[in-house]
Parts: sequence; structure tokens; C-alpha cells
Amino acid sequence: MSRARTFIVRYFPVLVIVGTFSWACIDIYTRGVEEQPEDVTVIRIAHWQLEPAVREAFEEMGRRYQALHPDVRIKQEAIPEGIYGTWVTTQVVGGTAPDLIEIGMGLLPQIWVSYFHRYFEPLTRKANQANPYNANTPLENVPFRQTFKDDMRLGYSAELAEYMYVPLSMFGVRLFYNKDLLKTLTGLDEAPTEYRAFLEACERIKAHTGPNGQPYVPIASSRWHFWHYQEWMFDPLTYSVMRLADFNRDGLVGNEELFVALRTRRVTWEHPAVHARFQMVREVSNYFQPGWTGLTRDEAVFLFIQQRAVFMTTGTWDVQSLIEQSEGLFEVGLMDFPIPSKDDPVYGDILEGPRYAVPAAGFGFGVTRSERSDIAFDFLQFLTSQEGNEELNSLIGWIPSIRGAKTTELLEKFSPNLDGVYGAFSFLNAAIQGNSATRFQQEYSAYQVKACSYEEMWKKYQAFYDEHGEQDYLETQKDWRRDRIGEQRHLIWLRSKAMAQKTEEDAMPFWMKYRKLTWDRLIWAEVAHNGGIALVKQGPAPDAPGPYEYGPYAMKRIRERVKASLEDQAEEVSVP
Amino acid sequence: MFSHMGGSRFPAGALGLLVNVGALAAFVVGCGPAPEGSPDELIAQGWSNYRMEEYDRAIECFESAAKKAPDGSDEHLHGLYGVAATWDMRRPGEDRQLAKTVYEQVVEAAPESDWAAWSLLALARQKHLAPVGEILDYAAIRDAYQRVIDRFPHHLAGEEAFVFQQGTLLASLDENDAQKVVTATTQFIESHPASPFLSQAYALLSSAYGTLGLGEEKLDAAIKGYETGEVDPTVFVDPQGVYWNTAVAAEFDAGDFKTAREFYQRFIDECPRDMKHYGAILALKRMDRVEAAIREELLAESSAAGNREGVNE
Repeated sequence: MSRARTFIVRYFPVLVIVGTFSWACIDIYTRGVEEQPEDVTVIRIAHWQLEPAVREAFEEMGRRYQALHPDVRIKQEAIPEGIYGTWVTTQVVGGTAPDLIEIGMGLLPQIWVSYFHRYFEPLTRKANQANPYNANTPLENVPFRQTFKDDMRLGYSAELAEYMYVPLSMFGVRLFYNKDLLKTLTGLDEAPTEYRAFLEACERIKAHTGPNGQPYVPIASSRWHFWHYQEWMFDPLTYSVMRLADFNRDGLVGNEELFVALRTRRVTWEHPAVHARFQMVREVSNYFQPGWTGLTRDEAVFLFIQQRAVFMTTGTWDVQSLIEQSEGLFEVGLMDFPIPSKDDPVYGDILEGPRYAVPAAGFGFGVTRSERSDIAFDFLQFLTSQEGNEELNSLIGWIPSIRGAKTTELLEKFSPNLDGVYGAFSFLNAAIQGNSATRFQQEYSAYQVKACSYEEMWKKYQAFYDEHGEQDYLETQKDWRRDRIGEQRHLIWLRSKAMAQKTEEDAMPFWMKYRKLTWDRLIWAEVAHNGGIALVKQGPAPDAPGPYEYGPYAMKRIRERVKASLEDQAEEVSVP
Repeated sequence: MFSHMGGSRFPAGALGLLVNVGALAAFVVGCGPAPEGSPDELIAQGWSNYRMEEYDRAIECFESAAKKAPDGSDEHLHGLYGVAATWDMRRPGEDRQLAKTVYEQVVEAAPESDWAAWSLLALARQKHLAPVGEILDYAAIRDAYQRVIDRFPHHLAGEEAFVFQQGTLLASLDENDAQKVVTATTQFIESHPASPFLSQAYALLSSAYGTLGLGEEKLDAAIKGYETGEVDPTVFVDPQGVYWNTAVAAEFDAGDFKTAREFYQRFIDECPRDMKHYGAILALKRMDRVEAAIREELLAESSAAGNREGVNE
């Protein structure tokens, strides 16, 4: 064997590695040169939306932007959801971050906040200036943040007291249905939105058999879909529980409050609203396909697309793809979740109003720090001008996030219902985790698959919860103290920034943020945190009135004031 | 690691050397050059590195700034404070004891300076932010805050220390502690009428009155806290919390429906997308019902009394 051959055989693995590495270096270099000619600025935008419509929309909007700014190129990178968080971390830490990054996927919220702090541009100053692309529209001269339907509150980081990203779309959840199949199986042209009529339609659908000999499925569901029914159909029934369990009267029932209410039996599982909630779970899930608890989102979608199911819930993000997939096969209908009528024998007295439902802003992009950040933000402003946002969302099939930007007739059905009730009995809140949360999921799953009755479920769970709930709560609260260091670290930096300003006027916004965050994130947070612990450990006094009941003092003062007003009225009448 | 390659033209020793040299070069490049610039520039670099969580570089910058600046100068003290804050706050790799020593050094070097005030506050915060698992010694924490308050009563650090200190009393939810908060905070409000922490002081006072079960005083302080609050016009200010909390305090703690109506109405007008919007509408109806029932009851009582008087006459 020649020396060269011996060398190759011995070092083959090393040569392969060195060769591959060299090839990669050359490839990256040449591509870089090709993609980034010297006189052109390339703005890279990264997101996890693999839907063709999103990518095509960015391509199109990029082309339009380039027509206005020939020295800029827009390049997008669509990264799969599963690796998005890791990918973002690698990019920002490695100093190769794209200029615009979609925020929210794959990392814990506190990690995103720490990345905002280190790698992203705060957008507060720019958010208060008008969007130049809104010239000659009703939004001309309106501060950028106020051009958003949600006043850009999604992009506001309470931890940093800064606007950090810009939402491009709004999202809502509704029930979708196969109009043709509904007509064929039930004779109905439109899906009923009254609860009993809806169940009746489901019953009729279930009675029919499809071409494969299998009965039709009224509602295609899965573990993922179930969450929507919980939030939009079942939980709102429990609104009245708030009057008993919202001990701090903030209008929401946290899990520590729910735990205390259940332990002290101020609220029981036999409370009519709680019982009704679980009864509705059983009634509705009767019309899901068998084995739904073990199925994924995609499996339910297949059932719907294959016309083996009539109803399916999903959000605006799926509208376009559902319409495309059903094209030529069936017409897609859209409806709100059915609600019981006022004279419903079971739910009529329990449901205290319509359901609260507001499309939430999303599809938000942050600007990473670089010499290109002004151009990157300019592109975001282009995408969120009234015209640009309307165009972007019409290409994707989503709801615009900008005021006055028009949407399709179908998506208009996602208009918000601002006045309504919401859930007050939910174990989905993360305040009590550990074994209590796991155990609830186990018992609840058994109930969902009819492996136990409601009474068996709650009796088993309540016994466990009484014993372990407090300990589980206290365990989770340990993290609270750990997080304070991060808050303090940021505040020290913010103070240094305030002190580094040349004039008092320049320093003022930093000082204001500093004081607000000191109060919100440290001082008041500790008072509230200790309040929660005290509530869990001691509970309310046994004779204390409910949080939304008038105590003796309040009642006395109300009477006095009413009496005084009657006397005033009497005096006015007696004066000629 | 390459010892099995005997007989090759790249002996193991040479490869090993190459690897070590490479690693050393990478290490040196990674460390970067020693920081340069004026003390001011070094301090700015220090804070920038602190923000980026490049703590070793931050400490180098702050140390260089402290060394370059004349002893006792503002830059010197600022550099030392930066060193202490970085050792205090970095995770992992913190050295709380070293941080404490440097904070104390700042206080000793220039006891009347701004940096002494912030260092004293940092020493108190160190006690308050004890590691998870350590039981907080609230008496010692309050004493530490008191030292800042006594030394710098009208400095921002002293005022902040006061708010933190009273917050610890409030957090105990004990009535005696709440009474102490009422006394101290009332005094603070009188002696610091222009303090930027005035709104927070009223919020503490309101909460303390709440613990004491004094509904009207709680409401009054809450409204003053709202009125004296700083408003940052550059950010989204969500008033829902203030409006809702004030309204429910007025309705259920003070029995003051007039104020409750005013704040529920503000909530309805200014927070249309908030989920509690419907609750605010229901609250207005609820108060109407309660008042109507009481009015009817009072009128019935007065008419019965009138009848009795008529009979007696």
C-alpha cells in the first residue's frame, strides 16, 4: 500500500470532516456574497409559519417593499415549530440573529424577556411616532401604537415596561362546519347556534351512516380541540363562582383562590354552575369521534376534510387552508359556539350572559439589535400600515391587526363579543402545579372517556386536593423568589441608564419606568405573593362575607346614604 | 488522544500541540482585549456588558474605570458600584460576600455621595433577596432599610428604601404591622409632598387600611394614589386595574355607590375590550337594585312611622 493510500485510510474520517467543513464554509461564503451584494441591505425575517400562504405573502410584501426601496432585499426563513426555540437561541447567542424574529414559540416567557433585554431593540420611542406609510389615510399622524386594534398591548412587555414587538394579525376561534354535509344529513341550511338545537342536529348526524358503513361523526375533536370547547362553551357557565371565590376581588379566580374555596367548601363540586359545566362536557363530547382523547389535531382535521365529520373548532389561522382543502368538495360554514337559551331547563338560569370573546393579537415580530434595525422596523411599519396590513392579511387569510384595515366577509364573523361572561372554575391556571395538577388531569381524563361518573371523579379528586393542594402551592411559590433576582438585575441596569442621561428631561422616562417596575415587580408583587400564601394557609375567616357581598359596615353606609338622599329629596319637595 | 496514530506523519505530540495552541488562541480571542477608554466610556461599556450578561467583561470594565478615575471621584465610585452590582446580580457565578465588601467600600469612601446611598440600598436589597430556601429575617431587612432612610431621608434611594420597608410590613398581613404602616406612611406623605414615590405611599396606606378593615379610609387613599400616580405618556397604560379595584373597594368596603359608579363607568368607557367589562355593567345594575330595595324599605318604614304617629294623634 502506498503511503498516500495508507494516509487516506488512516485519516479518512478526519478528511471527511475537514472536507465537509471546508465545503460548508465556501458555500456559506459564496451564498452570502450572492445574497448580499455590496450596495444592498438584506433584511432577514424568521418565523415558524410553514403555511404556503404566509410564505407567499411575505414574498409578495417583500417585493412591494423592494419596489419602494430598491436597495433593500427581504429574505425570510421559515423554521419548523419543533426546533424554533433552539434555533432562535442559537442565532441570537451566536450573533447571527435575523433582523426580525417572530416572538412566542418554543421558549419560556421569561427566556423571551431575557432575550428582549439582551438582543432586541425596545420599540417604545418609535411606537409613539406616526407610521409614515399611513400618510393620506385616517391614521396619518396617529401614534403607531394607537393604530392597532389592541393598542399594540400584545407587544408591550410588562417586565421591561417597553414595547418590544409588533403584532401583524388578530386571531379568533369559532366552529367550522361542512355546509353540504349538514344539509344532506339534517336538512338544515345553517348550523343552529342554540345549544339544544345544536345537540339535536348532532344526534341526527350521528344516526346516518357514511359510504364506508361507519356512522358520521358530528364533531371532529382531539385533545387539542377540546381546549377550545372548554374555554368557549363549558367554562363560561361557571362565571357565578367568582362571587364566592374571587377573594382578592380582581375579577378573576386564581388557582389558589379556587383551592381555598373548595377546601373551605365555600364552593363545592355540587354547586349548580360547576355541576352544569361538567354535565355539558359529557353532553358535547358524546358527539366527538370515539377515542378523541388520544388523537392529535391533524387527525381531527383529516376527519373533517374527508367529510366524515360535520363540525370542527379551530382558529382563523386555519381558515384559508380549510377553504383551500375543501375547494370543489364542500362549502365551509362558520358559526359561533352554540349557547343555551334563557329558557333552557338546565343551563338557562346558570349562564349569566353571552360569552366574552375577543380576537387576540398575534403573529408578532421583534427587531433585533443591529445596524439594520431602523430598516427592519421600517419594513414592519410597511406591513402594519393600513393598506399594507390589509394586503398582508388578505394574502394569508387572517384578520388584520390595524384599525380600519378591511377583512373578508367570512372573517368578519370573528367580530368580538366584548360584553360577556368567562370561566371562574378552571384548573388550567398554572398557580397550583405538581401532583395536584397531574391528578386532576388523570381524574378528568377518566371522566371524559366515561370511565367514571362525575361524582366519582370529584370525590376522588377533592380528597387528594385537600391533602396535597397546599403543599403543591407552596412548592410552586419557591420559584417566585428566584425570579426576583432577575427583576432586580434589570432595575439596576435601568437606573444606570437613567443616571447616564445628560438632562433631567431625558432621564425622566427611565426613572418613571424604574419606579413603576420597582413597585409592580418587587414591592407590590411581594405583598400579593404573601397575600396568596396567607390565604392558602389560613383561608378567609369563617364568618367573613363573600368577596362580592356587602359586609355590615358597607351596608350601614349604603343605608345612611340612601336615607340622606331621600331626606334631600323631601327637603327639595317641601321648599316652595 | 491521538496516541494510536503511531507511525503517521502527524505524531500525536504535534497534533496535541496544535489542538492546545488552537484552544489557547480561541480562549485569548474569546477573552478579547483589555477594555480601553476613559472612565466614563468604560462605565458605559460595563453596563452594556452587564445588560448582555457578559459579566466577566462587565467587571473588567468597571474595575478599569475605578482604577483609572481619581480616588473618590464620581467615576471611581460608579466603577466600584458597578463591580459590586455585577458580583451581586450575576447568575450563575455570583459572589454576594464580595459584592457586600465592595458596597461597604463605596459607603466608607464617600459616605455622603449618591453612590453611598445606592450602595446602602443595595446592602438592604441583598438581605431582602436572600437565596431560595433561606428564611427571610424581616427585622434585619427593615433595619437595613432604616439605615438608608436615616442617612438619606430625601434621596431617591432613601425614599425607595422607605417604600420597600413598609411593603415588608404590609406583606405580613398583620394588623399591628398595618397600623405601623399607617403611622409611618402618613408621616412620609406629610414630609415628602413632592416625592416621586407619593403615589406608591398612598397605595401602601390604602392597603394597610384594608388590612385594618377601614373601608372609607382605604378608598380615600386609593383615590389619592391614583390621582398622584406618574403617567408615562410613551407607553400603553392600562387603567383597568385601578378603575376596577377602586370601584369594588367603593362598593363593598366603603358602601359608597357614587364613587363606585364613577369608577365602574370609567372602566366601561375606557376599557371596552377588557373581560371584566360585562362585570362592570352588571355592577351598575346591582347597585341600582340594592338602592331601590333600601329606598323602598325606608319609605315603607317612614310611612309606617307616619301611620303610627297618625294613630297616636
